[in-house]
Order: sequence, then structure tokens, then C-alpha cells
Amino acid sequence: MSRIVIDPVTRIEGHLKIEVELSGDTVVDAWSSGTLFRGIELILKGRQPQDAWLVTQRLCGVCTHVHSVASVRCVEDSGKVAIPANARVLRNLLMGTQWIHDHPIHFYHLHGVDWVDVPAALSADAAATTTLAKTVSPNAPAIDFAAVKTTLATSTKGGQLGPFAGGYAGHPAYALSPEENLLLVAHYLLAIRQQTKAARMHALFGAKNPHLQSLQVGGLTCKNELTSAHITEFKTLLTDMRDFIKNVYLPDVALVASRYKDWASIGGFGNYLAYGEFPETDVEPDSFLFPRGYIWDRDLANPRVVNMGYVYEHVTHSWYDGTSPDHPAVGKTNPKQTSYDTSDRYSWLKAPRYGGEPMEVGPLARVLIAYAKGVARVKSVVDQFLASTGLTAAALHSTLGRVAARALETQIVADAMDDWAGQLQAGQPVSSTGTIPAKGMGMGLSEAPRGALGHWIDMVDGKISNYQMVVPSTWNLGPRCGAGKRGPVEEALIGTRVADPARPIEILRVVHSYDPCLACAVHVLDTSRGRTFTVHVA
Amino acid sequence: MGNLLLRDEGLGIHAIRSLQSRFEVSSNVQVVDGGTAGTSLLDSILGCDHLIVADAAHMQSPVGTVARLAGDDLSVCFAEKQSAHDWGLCEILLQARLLGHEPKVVVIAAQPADIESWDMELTPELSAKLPEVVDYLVEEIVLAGGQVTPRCLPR
Repeated sequence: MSRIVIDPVTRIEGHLKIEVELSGDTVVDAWSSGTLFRGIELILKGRQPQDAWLVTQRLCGVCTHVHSVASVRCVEDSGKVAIPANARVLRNLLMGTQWIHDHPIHFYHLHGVDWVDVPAALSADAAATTTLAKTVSPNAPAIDFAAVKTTLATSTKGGQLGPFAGGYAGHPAYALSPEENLLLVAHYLLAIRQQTKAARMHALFGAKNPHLQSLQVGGLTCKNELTSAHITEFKTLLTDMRDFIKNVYLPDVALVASRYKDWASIGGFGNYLAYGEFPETDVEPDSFLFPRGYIWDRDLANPRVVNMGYVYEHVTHSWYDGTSPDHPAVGKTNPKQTSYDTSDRYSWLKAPRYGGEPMEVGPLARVLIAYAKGVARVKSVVDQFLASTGLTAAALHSTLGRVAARALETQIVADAMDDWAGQLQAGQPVSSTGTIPAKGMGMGLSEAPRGALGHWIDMVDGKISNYQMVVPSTWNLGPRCGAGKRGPVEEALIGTRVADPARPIEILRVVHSYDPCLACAVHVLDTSRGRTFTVHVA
Repeated sequence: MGNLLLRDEGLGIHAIRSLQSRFEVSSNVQVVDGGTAGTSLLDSILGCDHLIVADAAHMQSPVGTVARLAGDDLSVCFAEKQSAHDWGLCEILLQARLLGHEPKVVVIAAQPADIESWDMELTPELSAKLPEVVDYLVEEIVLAGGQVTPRCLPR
């Protein structure tokens, strides 16, 4: 037995391939390709609408719960089923838990090696790091940095970087001091421990984690679990998470922001879309903590109103039959793979467009739309961050802006969750009874950690006849549309300068700032020097 | 572990469902449907001394081959550079190790016939092997100090 692959690459949605073309050291064109077909829409045909969420939650390896939420919402929408206040609050808490679980993982464990030179931490002075920690994050838990160095040395012995693989050790683009690297490695370890607490929060009202089991059309099934003891336990864990977010995560993001200020003008896009999330009353979308809206061409002075009729998915450059864009309510999934050809079809992702334009979705979109609309709880946190880092609001249209927005909304939602947890009513109903039509359509919108997520269902004779999902990574990482316009990541990469095409860390910083839910391989074509680099990276 | 939507990729989930329908386990055994998730399994792993995983695995063996993998059989998975956006069992075990916790790991694996079709049922080849996979799991649970009691047949 020479080789064992325990984790087939097919376990999650698939892989992402980024191809860029350089002129000199500057990216002049880019193509983003999802390399695996997602056939879940086909699996759902003929099934009971009420069961769809149990299937859709198995799609993703990272944020399974969000597909449950969008799914039950689209079925509820078909019958205009209202859910009780307890269910609304519980769903907010479970979705909020997903955000505060995922966002620190992204920063420390997925994006971290783009900013932190992990092996360089081995040359840090432990005592100096203790002094540094008191300045950067004075309220963080005390850490034995010498012990962290020992752990790091042991786990990376023999050049095996293990979980830290994926960075480019020694790359000149790293800007942190050895002590700053060690501080962030130590907090990486802290964040690992911390995420288990968010997982427990999920399990309290979700029956299990991963793949929460307590949703249903009309609300949730966890009435017996909604006890005062469980509510208290949830609040205790939440307090612990809030301390971590405020005292560790936010200061670390501010540190990275202060050392990588040039990234506040690299990798920006400019069009943003959010469906909105966290209804705080039964009036939707008006009561959302993060409002529905869109921003066109960085115009923060004029946040606009979303009309869902303008959402279309294009397939001209995707491996599906035909060329005509469809609204997801009547979308089709007719795979037709041809060769990988960047001048023709090159991705399994479709190209979603709003009014014909590519839109960035995710934390930055949500935060900027809320900021532009003057949502007080968002504006105060953003303004405080800008003041402390010396950045302007315009600097948020960038790679660094994405990193910062993700952290800021983690704090905003965690604080709001404390209020929501206080609204839970033990013993009160957590579900309603509603009627689902045998024939009808529905739309379920939500905000996954990675951005705007929509499910559309069409039912005939009580069975699913069509099901379409437009997921955040499709918005951000999709290919060109019928009009030939690049997708957000493709466009954001243009102008990025790459110091060493064999180690394109700059490209990874831009792409990873979107938190793609696909593993990523990068292909760099250097036309000016007639060289091609194929780099497989995390 | 496994993805229920991709045919034989869901073997691990089908196996524990079958295990739970046929047997009751003692309270020192936690049966977890790990599904497609990686990172959120860490809490369970930090709490266990023995980790017994049911999963499909490429072993260059004939389809349906069931094998018990442990020790050196698994070391290749730790040596291979993995993608940070494709977190699986190996990464979580490495994270647990960083926190100073190393459970004894055994994988009960079966060579899949098809992990690419979008389908929620196992192939007939693997479906036929499910009882054997469950037997292996039962044996491992007992070896690790758990108790397994057959459920009464439904009347």
C-alpha cells in the first residue's frame, strides 16, 4: 500500500483554479475556474420540499448550516409560512454562531499564512513577544511564548509544515517581525481551541454539529432543548467567544492592517450586493441588522434598493448547455463540459449578475452597505477601526478591507447575539404550522459567512420539480458573463503586482481575502518572458 | 466521515447509520456523523482517546476491499501537503496534536467504486460490503474498551 488518500478532493464543493496573465510584474488578465460540477440540483428533483434542507446541508464542508436555512426559507416562502418569534431568534443565533465560528478560522487558519511567516516565528525572542503582546492585545489571555516556540519547532520538524503548509516561508512580501509572527502563531493555537466553543453553541440548539438537525419548515424542532439551563450555557459560551473576538481577533487584524497598509489599495472591486440577514422583528427586510442593498462603483453615498428580478445567471463561459442567461427561479442545470478554454468556456461555476453587472458579496459588501445606510451599530464599529488604524473608508475597497470587514462584522454580530439570547423564551413555541402548496414556487435568501446565498424551489404535485442555488462563491469567483465582463475576483486581480511568479503570494492574498469555499490552484502565465508557472497552493 | 451526496463517498455515514440501527453502544462510546465537515469535529476529537473512522479510501485495491488502516498506513496522509481550503481528518488531527492531544486512530476503509456521481445511495458493490464494514467497526469499538449490544429484531 503505497498511497492512501483519506480525504478525496470531492468531499467539498470542488476546487478553484486561478489563471493570471502578467505583463512585466503586473497582472493584466485573470480567469477563475471552478473545476468540479455541483449536481445537487439534480439530486433534489422528485423529493419532498420539506426534506430539501437535509440534502442541501451536505453540500459544503465548511458552512453546512447556511444551506439548511436558505432551503427551509424557500419552502416557507412558497406557502407564506410565518415563523414564531422564538424561531426567528433561534435561527439568528444559529446563523450568528456560524459567522463567529467561520470568520476567525478564516483569518487564522486559512488566510493567516498569506500574512504570517510561520517558520520565521522560530527566531522570535519569547520575552520580547510577551512585551509586544501587552501592547498589541493587552486584554488577551497570557501566553507562554517559549512553549509556543517549542510546539512550533516540534510540529514543523524536518521541514513538514503540517497545518501551516501553504505559505511561502521567507518570501520578501512578509512584513511582520519575528515576534509579531510568533504572537499570531500563538493566537492561531488559541483560535483552534476557541472554535470548539462555537461548535458547542451550535450543538446546544442544533442537536449535533456538524450538520445541525433541528430546523424544519415553519421553525425548529428544539423546543425541549430550549431550557433556561441551555440558554445560560449558550450565553456563557457566547461571552467567552466575545472576549476572544474583542481581545484577540480584532487587535490581531489591526496589527496586520498596520503592517500591510499597501494592501488597502490592492485587490479592490467596487460593486457590492447583500440580501441582508438577521431579522430583528417579523418585518423583513426592514428589520435586518445587516440590510439588503447594493452599492454601485464604490458610491457609498448612494446605497441602492435590491430588486431580485435583476438576478440572472449566465452560462456563456461555463460548462452548461446554451448561452442564454436565466433567472434562478427558472434556472436550468444542464451540464455540458467542453475543454478548458479561457476564450470560450472554462468553469463549472455559472456567472451570476445583478442587472448585468458582477457583484462582490460577503463581509465587505454587508459592512459597506450597512455603513452607507447609516446603521448605527455597524457605523460606530467601522469608524472606531478606521480611527485606530488611520485608514479611510475609501481604503476599505481593497484586500485589506475584506479582512477588516470580516473581523468587524464578527464583533457586531457577536454583540447583537447577546441581545438576541436575552429574547429567547423557554417553553414557548419554536415552530408554526403552515401549509405548503402542492404546486408553487419559493425563494429563500440568507447571508452565509461568505456572502449572499439564495435557493429557489419549484414544486409540482408536492414534489420538487426544479431547485436552484446561487451561492456566494459563485458570485465572487464566477467566470465572465455573456457580455464578457469579468467576475469580481477576476477583476480584483487586475493590476496586482507579483514579485516572483513562482511564488505568487500576492495573488493568493487577493483570492483568499474573498474566503473562497473552494480549494485553490494558481496558474501564472508570464507572457513577457514566455514562461509559465503552475503552482498548487492552499 | 463522508459526503452523502456523492455515492460511495458517503460510505462512512451509511456505515454508522447501519451500526446504530443494528447495535446499541455503551456510554463511553460517542458515535458521530462527521459528514463533510472538518473543523467542527475538533471538539469531539479532543474528547476521545480512541478515534475509529469509517470512510471511503483510495487504496489501489479492488473495489469493495475493506481494510483496517492504522499507524504507518496513515502516515502518508500526514506527510502530504494538504490544501488549507480542503480541511479533512488529517488537518484536524494535526490541530489536535498542536494542542497536545493525540488519540489512537484507526480507519476502517473501503475502496469505492464511484465517488463522482451525484447520488445518495451506495453502489451495489459497496452496499454489499456494508455489513462487513460494520463488523470491523464493532470489533474496533470492543478492542478500544466499548461495549456493543445487538438490538432486538423488530417484532
